[in-house]
Order: sequence, then C-alpha cells, then structure tokens
Amino acid sequence: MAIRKLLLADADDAVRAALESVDSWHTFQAVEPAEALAICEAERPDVVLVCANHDGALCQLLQGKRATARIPVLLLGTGAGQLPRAGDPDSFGLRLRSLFEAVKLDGAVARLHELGGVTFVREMIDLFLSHGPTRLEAARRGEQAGDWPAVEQAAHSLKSSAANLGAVSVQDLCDRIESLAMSGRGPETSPLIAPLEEAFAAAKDGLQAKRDALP
Amino acid sequence: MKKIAVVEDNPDNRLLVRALLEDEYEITEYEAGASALAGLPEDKPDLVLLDISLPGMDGTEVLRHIRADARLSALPVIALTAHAMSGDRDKYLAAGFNDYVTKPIVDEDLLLTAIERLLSSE
Repeated sequence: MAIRKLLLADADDAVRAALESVDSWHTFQAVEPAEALAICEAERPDVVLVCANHDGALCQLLQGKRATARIPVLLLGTGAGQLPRAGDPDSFGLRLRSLFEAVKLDGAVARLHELGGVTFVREMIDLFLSHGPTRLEAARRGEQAGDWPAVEQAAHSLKSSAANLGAVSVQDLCDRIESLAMSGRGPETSPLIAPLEEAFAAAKDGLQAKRDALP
Repeated sequence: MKKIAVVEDNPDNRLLVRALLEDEYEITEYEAGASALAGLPEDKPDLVLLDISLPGMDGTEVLRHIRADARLSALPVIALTAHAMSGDRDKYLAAGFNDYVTKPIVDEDLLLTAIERLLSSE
C-alpha cells in the first residue's frame, strides 16, 4: 500500500508509541503550531493528527494558507468522532485509517461541490460508480489471464478516478497494483485484487450515501 | 475566449478539467491520441492538455506527431500525468512538453498558473 504522509502535532509519548506500530504512514513530528505549519507547507502531509489542547491555533494557521487549507486535521481525544489517544495498536491503526478515509471522501466531495455545484458532483460520482466495476472486471480478467499490461491500464484508470473522489483505499491499492504490473511483478498483484474489490464496494457505499444526501 | 483542447481517456478527468477551466476558456475534448491528431488542425486550440497514459498511442507519441506537424508544431502542450516521480519534470520538458502537471489535480491553482504562464508568453 502506498505510504501516506502524516504530521503528528504536539503528541505525547503514548500517541507516538501507538503510531510507531502502524507502518502505513510516513510520520513527521512538530511541537509548536508554527513548526507544524512549516512542515505542512513543505511536505503537504495527507493528514495532520493533533492533540485536543492544541488544535485551534494550528487549524487557524492551516486555514490561512491556500496550500494547506485542504489538509484534513484529525483530533486526538476521547470524544465521539475523535481518535483514541492510545490503547491497542491494531485498533488505533484501523481507526486512524477509517477516519482518514471518511475525512478524505468528505473533503473531495465538498471540493467538487464548491468547484461545479450539485449536478457536477453527481456526475462525477455517477461516472466513478458506473466505470469502476468495468475497470475492476478488466483488472480481474487481466490478472487471471496473466495479461499485466491490461491490469496496469485498469488500475491506472481506476486510481485516477478514485483520487478525484477521495476514495483513498481504492487509490492506494490501484497505485500498488499498477506499480507491480508495470515493473514485471504482475503475479504479485493477485492477492491485491480481492482487497481492491472490497475497497471499491466500501467507497461505493460511502459515495452513494453522499450522493443521496445531495440537495 | 482562448481555446484549450483536453486529450484524456478518463471521462471523469475530462469533466473535472472542464469544470476547472470552462469559466475562462473554451474547452474541446478528445478521448484518444488519434482523434486528437485528426481534430486539432481544424480545432486550432491555443493550448493542449495532454494525458500521458492514453491507451493505444500514448501522450509522448501524440506529442511527437504534434511537433512534427507544421500546422501544430508551435502549440503549447502541458503533460498531465499520474506517474509522479522525481526527475519526471525534466524528462517531460526534454521530450518537448512546455510544462507538466500531476494528477490528481489536488491544487487547481498549479494547473491554472501553468496555463496562464504559457498563454501569456505567446
């Protein structure tokens, strides 16, 4: 899976330890909000994790710059919708990933809405939902036939569509499959096809719900 | 209104690019390299956004045809690609593209700036 970048702002040791055991993130760390902003501008992390006592100042700084305004910020805490500060590393990792996915889907749909209005969002979602299954099937057929260029092409197209809609798991799996297929490691894509189908089904549910909620 | 041709096989990417640009530019769309090469001389756009990973004839090959055609050779062409690797920019500029923008287009300002820069330097 593609490594995504995460900035840990003002975290305590328990959070740091929990995150160290989750290997799917490239992690940056900052203590002061200004330092966190500088890292966000230079590295453009996919997500910022921030402790509850420090969120206001940093959010304001990020919102103030166009380049960083769209970086999602997740709050560490004990409330509903927040990420638990520590605990079982596996559940921490899964919870982080699922919050990240939800927040990316929200952000992408909100951005498309802002860019082109309701009809445009609906069209973008519909294109993804109608073309996705065709590409999944092409990837599956290519994988069964050992036709790696076909797998690469299907994964490439689906990756691009998924990225536009914030379907990060579909995007990351496609990225991995495409890289393997194009570098002579086609057979290694086989165990990734079923997870891709599952990730697409989850993204489909999420996007369908967003579509139904549109005015 | 200046005219931009978009050559991109993914319909959702074409739709996104259209939404980003159509307030300021007239947009024409092509799904493949061959249809673009056939239509561009008549279409006469001011700039081309060219996807690299097109099925069949890829973007780099389409560009070679554009540069070899006297009617099209001076067209500014921006490569659109999802294969972002370090050194890619130099590679595409060396291949004859005027600029390079990565997909997904998460920061539309980068695309708009690249387009404005090329159109103002004409």
